[in-house]
Amino acid sequence: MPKPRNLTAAAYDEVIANPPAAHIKDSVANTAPGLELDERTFEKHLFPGLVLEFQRYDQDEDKKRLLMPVVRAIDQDKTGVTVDGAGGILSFKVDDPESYLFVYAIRSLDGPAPQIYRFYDFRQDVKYQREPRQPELALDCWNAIRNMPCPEGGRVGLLIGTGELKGDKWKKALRAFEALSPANAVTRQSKDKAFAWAVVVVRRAPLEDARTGLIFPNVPPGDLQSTMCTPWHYDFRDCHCYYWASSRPDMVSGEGPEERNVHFMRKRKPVWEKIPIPPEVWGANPNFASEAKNVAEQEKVLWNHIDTINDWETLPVVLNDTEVRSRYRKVVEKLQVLAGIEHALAVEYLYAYQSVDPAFKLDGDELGARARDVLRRIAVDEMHHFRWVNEILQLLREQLGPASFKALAASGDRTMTVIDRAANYGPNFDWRSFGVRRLELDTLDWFIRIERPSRQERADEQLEGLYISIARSIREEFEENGDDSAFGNAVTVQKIQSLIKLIIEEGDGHYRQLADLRNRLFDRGENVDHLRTIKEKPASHEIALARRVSDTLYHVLLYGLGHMFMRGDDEDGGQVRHLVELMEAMDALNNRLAHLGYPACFNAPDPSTTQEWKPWGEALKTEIDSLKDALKKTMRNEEELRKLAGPALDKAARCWEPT
Amino acid sequence: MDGKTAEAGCAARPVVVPRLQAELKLFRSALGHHALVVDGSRVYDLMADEAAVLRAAITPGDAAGSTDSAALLADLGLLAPAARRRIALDPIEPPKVTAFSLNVAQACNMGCAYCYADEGKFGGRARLMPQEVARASVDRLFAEADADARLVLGFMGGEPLLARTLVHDTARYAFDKAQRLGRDIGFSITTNATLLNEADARLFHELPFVVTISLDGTRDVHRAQRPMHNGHDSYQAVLDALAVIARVGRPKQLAARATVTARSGRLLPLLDHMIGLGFDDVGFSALLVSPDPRLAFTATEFERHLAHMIECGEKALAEIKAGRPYPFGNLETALQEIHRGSHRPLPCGAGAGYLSVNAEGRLYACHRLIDDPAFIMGDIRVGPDTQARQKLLNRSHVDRMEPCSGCWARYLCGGGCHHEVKARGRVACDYIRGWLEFCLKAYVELGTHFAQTGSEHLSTRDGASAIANVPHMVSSPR
Repeated sequence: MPKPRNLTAAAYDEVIANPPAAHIKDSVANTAPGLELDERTFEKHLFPGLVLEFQRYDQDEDKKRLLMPVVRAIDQDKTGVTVDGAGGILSFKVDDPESYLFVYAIRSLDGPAPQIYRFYDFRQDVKYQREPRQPELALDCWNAIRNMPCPEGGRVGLLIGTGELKGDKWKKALRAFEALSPANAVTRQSKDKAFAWAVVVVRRAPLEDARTGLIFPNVPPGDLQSTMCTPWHYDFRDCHCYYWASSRPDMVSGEGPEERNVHFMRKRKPVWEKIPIPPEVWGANPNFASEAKNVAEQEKVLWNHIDTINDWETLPVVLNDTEVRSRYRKVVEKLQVLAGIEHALAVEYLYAYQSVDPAFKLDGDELGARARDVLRRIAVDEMHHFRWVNEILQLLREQLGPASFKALAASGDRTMTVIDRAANYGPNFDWRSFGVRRLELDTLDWFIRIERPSRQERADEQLEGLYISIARSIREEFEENGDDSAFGNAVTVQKIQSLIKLIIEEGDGHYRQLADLRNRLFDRGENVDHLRTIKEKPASHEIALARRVSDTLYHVLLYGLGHMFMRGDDEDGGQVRHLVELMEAMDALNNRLAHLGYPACFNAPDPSTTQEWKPWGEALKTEIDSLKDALKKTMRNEEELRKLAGPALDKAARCWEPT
Repeated sequence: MDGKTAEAGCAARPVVVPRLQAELKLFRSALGHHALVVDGSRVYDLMADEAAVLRAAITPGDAAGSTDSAALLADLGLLAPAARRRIALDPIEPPKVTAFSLNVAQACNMGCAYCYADEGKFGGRARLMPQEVARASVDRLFAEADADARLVLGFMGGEPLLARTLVHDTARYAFDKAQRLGRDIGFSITTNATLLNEADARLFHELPFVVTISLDGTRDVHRAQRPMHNGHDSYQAVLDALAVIARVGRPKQLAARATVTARSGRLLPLLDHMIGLGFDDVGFSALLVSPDPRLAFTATEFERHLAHMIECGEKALAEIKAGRPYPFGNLETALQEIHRGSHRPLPCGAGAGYLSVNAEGRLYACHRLIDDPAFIMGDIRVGPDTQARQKLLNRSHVDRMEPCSGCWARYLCGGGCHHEVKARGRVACDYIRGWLEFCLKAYVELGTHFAQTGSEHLSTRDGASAIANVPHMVSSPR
């Protein structure tokens, strides 16, 4: 194909290869270290026989040598300069600045307008310009070489020397350099025993190989990009509208109502953490001290540079401003959200159940006992759901290879299973926060709302609808791909669908029972007669201790469940039995606490401690031992509590026993 | 030879590209062989063997190519189907108007023998444009153009500064209107500069004016060709105007336009002289239509003119390569067009984005066709006549013209000035081709020069500096 010369010819010639944005001539202006390539590399290799360097780590320490380029490597044979006497290529270590050879000055010898750059002084000595000035950046030296008018193959003279070039040596070096001219272009060097300086005359390398068209044949393969560090990740993280817009949107939408106009670089979290980012946090500028607080908040919710480097592959494809996720990923994310919600609901139900006085009667009806029974059973069902959702996640986890798993895991360290408790119920429920509340009318109405069956046309609005949509996605995927479905083969899909069906069916019952309870309890208006009293007086030490035990039991329960989920031991009857016994022991203790007017707090474990399983487990064991000791020493006044707490702790300790 | 042997021994059918010589121009430079692919005005470098292959493929009449040329022709898109052509014979829809010239003074204070405009009267009576017509023209221009279009308002004549007050008033009116509406507007004026005063210079300096002074060269040449009615020295008047401009401040661009007649002689001394006067741009315009036919070029006289132009071009190239400004407008414009790959089926914007207004407010295709009923294009009161414009553009399509449709230069030339073609036919084709061939050569040589030296061109025009960044790095795998 003939070589195109003008713009329309260049545009006509479509090279089937990289897109136009990948052509060097289209590379963006900030090309040092650059987004597609490090342009400094051209000038580093501009003079065959020498490899230069323009920026290095020690430039801050020594201002005097701050700006001069250094010689990273010199081919003594090619240049005719003897440095160490051994011939061949001599390279200088990056971390040994004392050994550097510096480029003190350079001049072109051929071409229409020869120029001289004295880097040691940084004056330019050409006819038609410029004021003498001090360069501000080391890159000024690079730019000087870059802009030096010298034809390809034209001669260039460089004065190179050690860092300690001064006195007589310096004078001689300078004299030799200043003596250079087109007619007197000869390489020479100091006659000292140890190398001091050299005036090197080389020919400027071609920009393009005339035969192959290869850009800058002088640059070794890989070098154009070897010094790029991670610029594209940094720019990808930092740049906003108008720059990366086509490749990295600032704002996208997801599918759910909570994902309208969300930040593309947000940390992808469970829905209960997806509180919309306020505008002042979104746009916080770290360059302004006044925005420090918002910047700190921003760092919590957006990817930092490390996240971008590590996880950029997990960023979703965006089409028409909407993040596109596979069915698999959508189902996994919904299940992870649901796990958190089921966990939160279980706790809310447990607390509400404990808040009801078992002795409450209304018109002869043992309404208190009935209400407790309904709520307890629903709580247990939610616990089942919590477990089953995680079992489904574990089944799905097993469909992935390790590489894909990383792409979909919530973090590099976790599995797909979720033991965290939702902090809120997301946009489907108006971001209502999780909270332990007594069974007042408002609470019961909230339970009824969340258990309400979904209406057909807005299937995702309610809990049941979320499960239905998951079942539908799995079914569609399986219908399309059979045993190759992303959710596994027929057996796995059947298992998953059965669990979902069970969850939906149990949920049906909840709504009816709760609605009936409402009628019975609140038919005559809002009242709280059915509730246990909560004491306002601060809890005694023993009660506080018992509450600590309750929390620890709760944490151990979560730990045991999480461990079981990760192992995938859904058939581990022994472990399940342990956990059920622990649950019952905790329930008994909590009942006593509620009776005393100091209900269990259900404080969730600190997320920072749950990141690492082993240390968390060790911490829990230590806490159990510490509580046992404490129980022995106190609890004199609360014998009943001690009788419940002690054995409960023993049960907790057994969770680590092999089954 | 029997049939089978004949069949076995026959070469494949040659590739035939109809009228290849109209689609491909081969040329040489100091660097070697090159090609201009006419559709798209694409310029390529060729290896010697490629040039030989293509030369063999181009023969008079219908081309009979060879199988050797098939791949190369395909690479260059010369075997591409009609659907891929950049210029086709589809009907041209007139674009929205963005430029008006106002003939504010159909009268003149000079008696140039060659004046196509009959000293501004265009064959009619001398008259000045009323203010209401001028302002209405401005309003019409704003109304017709898109809101984000750059508007151009030109002042023509005769000598426009005979209607100085109108020029000032209309320019200010238009500029203020543009400022208010957030529109972008530029102005132009072509003047003999004999009447230019400080107020005029101030106007040209304050508003974005491109001022073109008609100056035919050295004092002697200019005085001989451009006498003033009052007998004053027209050349000195230009110098005086330049002094005023220098004192008050330069306009956005100050250009000189020299009319070259068949008697003008060597152009280089004239060019040197005018560039020396400090113009941003100096251009020659060969006279084709003149009341005195002795002054207009004949086809044979164009040969000499071409030589003179090339002499100027060679000088310009030498200066450019030496890094010195030498704003020879004809060359700069051509370089710019070649670099961009301009390709168009029409010679200019006449009747398309550009219309000219006569003193009464009637619209004509351009300032040279004022009062010519064959080129009337509407009226400022009711707006441009789209049908008339469409007819003009479609009948002027260069692929419909002869001999244009068979000429390799047609998409760079566009078919020639409507006014000149109507009056004289196409007598300058060889000259145009010769000049363009020179410019193509200049383009590739300059491009390589810039690539090798890395120097910047110091021209004030974009032509050569546009190719300072010639795509030397653009290289397709060979």
